[in-house]
Amino acid sequence: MIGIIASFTPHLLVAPLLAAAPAGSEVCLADFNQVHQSLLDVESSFEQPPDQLVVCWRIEDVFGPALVDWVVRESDPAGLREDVRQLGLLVGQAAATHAIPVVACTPPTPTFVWLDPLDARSSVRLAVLHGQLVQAFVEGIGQAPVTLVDLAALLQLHGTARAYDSRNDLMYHQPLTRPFAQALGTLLGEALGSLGRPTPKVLAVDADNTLWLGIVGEDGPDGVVIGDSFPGSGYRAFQQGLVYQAAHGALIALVSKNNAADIEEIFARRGGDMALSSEHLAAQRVDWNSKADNLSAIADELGLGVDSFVFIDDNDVELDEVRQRLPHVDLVKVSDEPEEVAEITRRLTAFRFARVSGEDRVRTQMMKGESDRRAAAAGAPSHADFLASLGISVHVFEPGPAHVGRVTQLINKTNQFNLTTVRRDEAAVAALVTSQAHRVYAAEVTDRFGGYGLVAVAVVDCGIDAWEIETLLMSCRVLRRGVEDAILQCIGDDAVTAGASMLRGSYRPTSKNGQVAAFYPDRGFTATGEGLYEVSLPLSVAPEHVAVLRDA
Amino acid sequence: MSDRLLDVFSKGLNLPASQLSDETSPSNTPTWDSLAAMEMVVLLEDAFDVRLKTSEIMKMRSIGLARNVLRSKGVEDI
Repeated sequence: MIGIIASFTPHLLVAPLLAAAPAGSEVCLADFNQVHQSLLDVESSFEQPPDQLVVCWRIEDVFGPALVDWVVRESDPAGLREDVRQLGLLVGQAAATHAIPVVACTPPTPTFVWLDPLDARSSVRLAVLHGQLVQAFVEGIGQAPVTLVDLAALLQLHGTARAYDSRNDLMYHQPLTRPFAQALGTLLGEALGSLGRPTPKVLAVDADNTLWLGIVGEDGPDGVVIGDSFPGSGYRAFQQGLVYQAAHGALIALVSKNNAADIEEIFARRGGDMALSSEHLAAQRVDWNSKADNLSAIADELGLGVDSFVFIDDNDVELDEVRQRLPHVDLVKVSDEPEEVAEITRRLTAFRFARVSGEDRVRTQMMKGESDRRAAAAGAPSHADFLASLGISVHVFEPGPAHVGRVTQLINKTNQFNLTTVRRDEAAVAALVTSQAHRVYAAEVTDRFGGYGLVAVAVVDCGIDAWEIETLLMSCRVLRRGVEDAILQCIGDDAVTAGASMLRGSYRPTSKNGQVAAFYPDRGFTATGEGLYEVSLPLSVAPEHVAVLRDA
Repeated sequence: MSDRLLDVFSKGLNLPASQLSDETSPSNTPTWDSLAAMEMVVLLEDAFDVRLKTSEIMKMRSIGLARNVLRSKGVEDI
């Protein structure tokens, strides 16, 4: 089961992701824009515990208010950088403590519907900040077994104008166009598919018509074409790509049917024209033996399996022999078009997901066992620490006429965190607000990332001995922050003040509110019938990390 | 005779086209939730090569109303 944690509605990613992921994969989605909470509580964020995790987020979704403040008022970004680093830490922690592979996206450069992307007053600063935040995120992940997918780079490749749909972002929190969602979903699926596969370690290259144009045995060391000008420039670009790969851990092996002296002479005399030098070569076989035999010999010499080899050659016969005798070697046919030769290393996409090696470290982590897991959890912030750091403040009040519209809206659209799903129209809500027999509660929530507005509502029938909660609901935006307990505590306190001794509540199941099925029993209420619960007052459920403000 | 519009809604709502009519709306169709609405906007735009404004999307409170919106945007034969 692949769990997807995203700061936006990720549904368009699912089909292309599954099409590119290993066959038989399934997907489950966490609530959108609950990135922190979902990472801290992976198991309860999904219908079943995922065995692979995908994390996709945008800075403007997760840290919107702080980012806007930085854009508008040019505030100090140090706090934002630290928040992003902490998010990276949480991603790494989720991978390490659950010992599951995690694929995490870099966040794209922020965009705002109200900001001209070519407004140089902010675009230049945003580019710099974006780089710093990506760096902070990657630093936070550290050495954890996380595979990075460069969403920021993919967005750049497609272009923001073609990748984003601001209408769908406004209406559905779904900012991606279908073509871009297709590309991103595919890339994520490929990243998941790469988890089980060994990263290529050896690039075995032919020489003639591969590293240069021409045949050294016929054209001579000075006659082969390589250098700054076309068509030698295409081959030189390929060599530059090999040098880059060598610098990033790949081993370059030269496998050529030639006289060794001719090859040595090219490296000696054409050094100024070439990017590759003999120092870059980890192994070489320049002789007249079969290339399959030579590849096997190099594998033995380097102590590696041939399944980590990529063999690059222009000759179909050589390629075919290797295909038949060493079927696990990846093959690349070198074209006779210089511009295609130039792009060979760029098209070795198996290296895309190699930066942080997932699988090996996951396996090591699994073997290290429970004690290490506990140590890792101890070193990183717990859910309680995280909640405490949020500085959550809940303002609980009795709504007046001005709030009736918003309260009615919440009553009619909240599906998931809704104990009874009783719908009411505006007239009914207005009547309840002024009713002597009822009390309506509303809660506004703020934390250090900003305000969430009016996000929770309760309707209580105030009997003499017993108060009964007829409606209790909350927006998904503030799930798992303890807001529900703050409002329940206020109801309990008021009931005690009014002289009641009992608080009752009910749960009516729907297809969408399963997450609150155990809400009352979890808080010490006892069942008195089908979906009916009660508890003797006083009640004590208010969490320590929440500051509750009441009307004076 | 197949109805192209019903075919799109059939895909978006995950229901056979035979169960759909111009009267089909969110209030009589449990699978027509906000996610299905989002997917149907994308499907409709692809199928009929139109770009819908938010006000037009808000008007599509039944299949019949969606048909009216699409016709008003010059989509023929639906």
